[in-house]
Amino acid sequence: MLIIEHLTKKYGEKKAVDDLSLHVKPGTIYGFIGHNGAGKTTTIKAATGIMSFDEGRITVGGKDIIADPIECKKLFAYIPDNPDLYSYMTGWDYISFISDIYEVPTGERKELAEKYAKEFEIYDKLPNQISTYSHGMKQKLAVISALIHKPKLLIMDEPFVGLDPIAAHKLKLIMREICDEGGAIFFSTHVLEVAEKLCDEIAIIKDGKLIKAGKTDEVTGDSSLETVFLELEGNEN
Amino acid sequence: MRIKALLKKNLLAFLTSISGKNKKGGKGMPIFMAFIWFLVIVSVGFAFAGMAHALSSVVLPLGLDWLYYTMICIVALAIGIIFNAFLASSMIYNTKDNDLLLSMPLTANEIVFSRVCPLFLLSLLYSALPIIPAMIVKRIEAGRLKAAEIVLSILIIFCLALITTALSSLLGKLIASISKKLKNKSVVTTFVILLFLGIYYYVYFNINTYLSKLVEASIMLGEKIEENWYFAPIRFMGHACTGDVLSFLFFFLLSAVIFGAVYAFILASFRKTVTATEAVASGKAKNGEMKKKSVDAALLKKEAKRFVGSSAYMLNCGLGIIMGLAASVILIIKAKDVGNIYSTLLAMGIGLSQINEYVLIVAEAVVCLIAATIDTAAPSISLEGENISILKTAPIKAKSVFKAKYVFEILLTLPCVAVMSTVISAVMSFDALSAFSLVLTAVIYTVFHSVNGVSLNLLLPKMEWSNEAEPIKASTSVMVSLLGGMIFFPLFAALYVFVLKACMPAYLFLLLCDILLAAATFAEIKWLGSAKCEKMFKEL
Repeated sequence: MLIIEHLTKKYGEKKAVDDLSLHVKPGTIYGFIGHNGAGKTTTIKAATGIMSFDEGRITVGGKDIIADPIECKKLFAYIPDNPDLYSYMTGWDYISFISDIYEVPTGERKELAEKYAKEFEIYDKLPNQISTYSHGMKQKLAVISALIHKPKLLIMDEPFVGLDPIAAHKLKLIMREICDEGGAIFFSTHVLEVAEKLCDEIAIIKDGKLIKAGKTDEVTGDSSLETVFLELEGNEN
Repeated sequence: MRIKALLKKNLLAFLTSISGKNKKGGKGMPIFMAFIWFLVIVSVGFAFAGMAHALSSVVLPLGLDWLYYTMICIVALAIGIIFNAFLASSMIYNTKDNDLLLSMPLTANEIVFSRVCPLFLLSLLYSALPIIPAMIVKRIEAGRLKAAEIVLSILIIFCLALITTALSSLLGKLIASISKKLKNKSVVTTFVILLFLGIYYYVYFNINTYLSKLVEASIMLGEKIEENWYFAPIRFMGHACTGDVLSFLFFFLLSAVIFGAVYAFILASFRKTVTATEAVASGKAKNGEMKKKSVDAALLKKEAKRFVGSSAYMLNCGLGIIMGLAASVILIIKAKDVGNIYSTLLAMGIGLSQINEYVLIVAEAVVCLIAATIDTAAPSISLEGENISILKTAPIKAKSVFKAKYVFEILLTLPCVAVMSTVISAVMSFDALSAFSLVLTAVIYTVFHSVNGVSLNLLLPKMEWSNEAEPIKASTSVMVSLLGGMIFFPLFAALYVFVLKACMPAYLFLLLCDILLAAATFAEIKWLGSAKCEKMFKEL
């Protein structure tokens, strides 16, 4: 679903991502782990077409993000770590705006918006202006808008930050649902317990380089993900 | 469908920003703002009509109608480009939704087009503002306008808007590119805006001189424009407004080419400009950066960092410093004129001591009025926003937080007030007692205004905002502090001049004011340190 081959991104002379390759297969929840400044967000921004890169190739569903960005972007949805939504719109306005961009038919958008808004318990808040929303409500609205066009791939940067336990649980169920329907999830997180329990595959990035990737049980072996991560980071103590 | 959705969103954002509509604003706010905008547009229109009248009275009798329109069009272009440049930077490049839109199935063309459209609408306004009054003035002064003249002049507004949009977008790109590389962005932004303001006011105050020079040289200027091939676009612009179709077609083509070329350039560089991130070198803390400070010093430093970290805060709450210092310099330069006024008053038989009595009170009112425009304390609690929890959970008392806020304003205002009072005392040749009372009252008033700003903000906080301009520009505490502060001392001055003048000399009146202000300030500081205020702070 998502193939990143030899991705290199430089800021000036500094390599933020260095020759990174990974493959997110359909039906897979793929966790992306690394310390702050390791290159996770840069990789995600490159994969979502937000940021150009210096070397490498990224494809989503076989479509190249550089050569065919529009068709490529129609296949995925991106949820940033701190969604900055349009405060002057209402929740309904925002969902409608995103649906317009992805050309979702009226009936379908209404049905999906109602379904997810009720699941995330913000249905009755949708007529209110986003400026009145709490951080968690904004995060929920971002998730609902991301799901509105039934993406094949969901790319998320720290998706569980700000979500209450019930919403986080629902998001996990939805993630699994997308994968069961042949889609895929690629997300970054600092919460190793969540990654270990939820992800089918995991990649660990350090200083822009991929230092370990594979099926979760292969990566962890007999240890916990935390132990493996700390060992790889050289912080065993 | 996609472009329609984007356009709708951008126009909604644009209308929301100019209508002042927010979650707490009632339905009356947009109507009020529409009325304000109407007043502004009408006032500016009248100002341009005045300028057009000055031009027309000289240029039109010479039969140089095209030169009349040329000059008006140049003014329209200059105003549009200057006023739109910063807006272009924020509307096209520095928007919060760059990442979101770039991750969606949208072309750069769709994103840029939807952002350029509101800018084009504004450019239309800037172009129409001088041209329509100029047409009306010409109709009044030179009789009937030809149908072609009316139609083509209106179409020229569209051409000028195309050029204005293109050139301001180009400047906007330059500003966006430079600002990405700046370290102290807010300080540089403030400096550039002040520079613009300085140039604007310089031109504004000298506009009559420029106009008369322009009018004097109009024949020679007209000949030069007619003779030189490189002035052809300007010539065609003027001739088009007089109803010449060929000139219009040429100018329209030129406008379209300029707009097309700039648009293509913006499009090609758009992604690179909005996603450019400069490498940030990691480094060690500078000497003194990690040095231990007292709680008061740390809080004060935080206030200072907050101030210099926001150009909006500096410009709206600190502009009085520049005004005060500029007023002092102007007073020194114009000292001779002050002497002349004194001589005239003395010749009228008014005694020097009597003049000085009035001057002392008026000078005090002016100093306090300028001190009142420096109001960093009034929005300082609101500006904490969600970060207020950092202070609330810190092991410090609320009164320490309040103290840092008013002390910072005092430190910012006092040098300005001291310079102004000294300059006034020197230029007006006040005796020692008058000079002392002027300085003392200014200092005490400064302390009072600063403490009062914090108290007002504690009583009228605005903790929820999405843009820091909201607590700085549109909060009740700032409004009350600013307006109250500005009329406070002039009211005292009026009380003295109309009621108490016969009872006491001016310096004595000022000393009485000092006692009152000092008592009020002391009471407010005590109140800010009370358990009630501690509780109010915790509940913010």
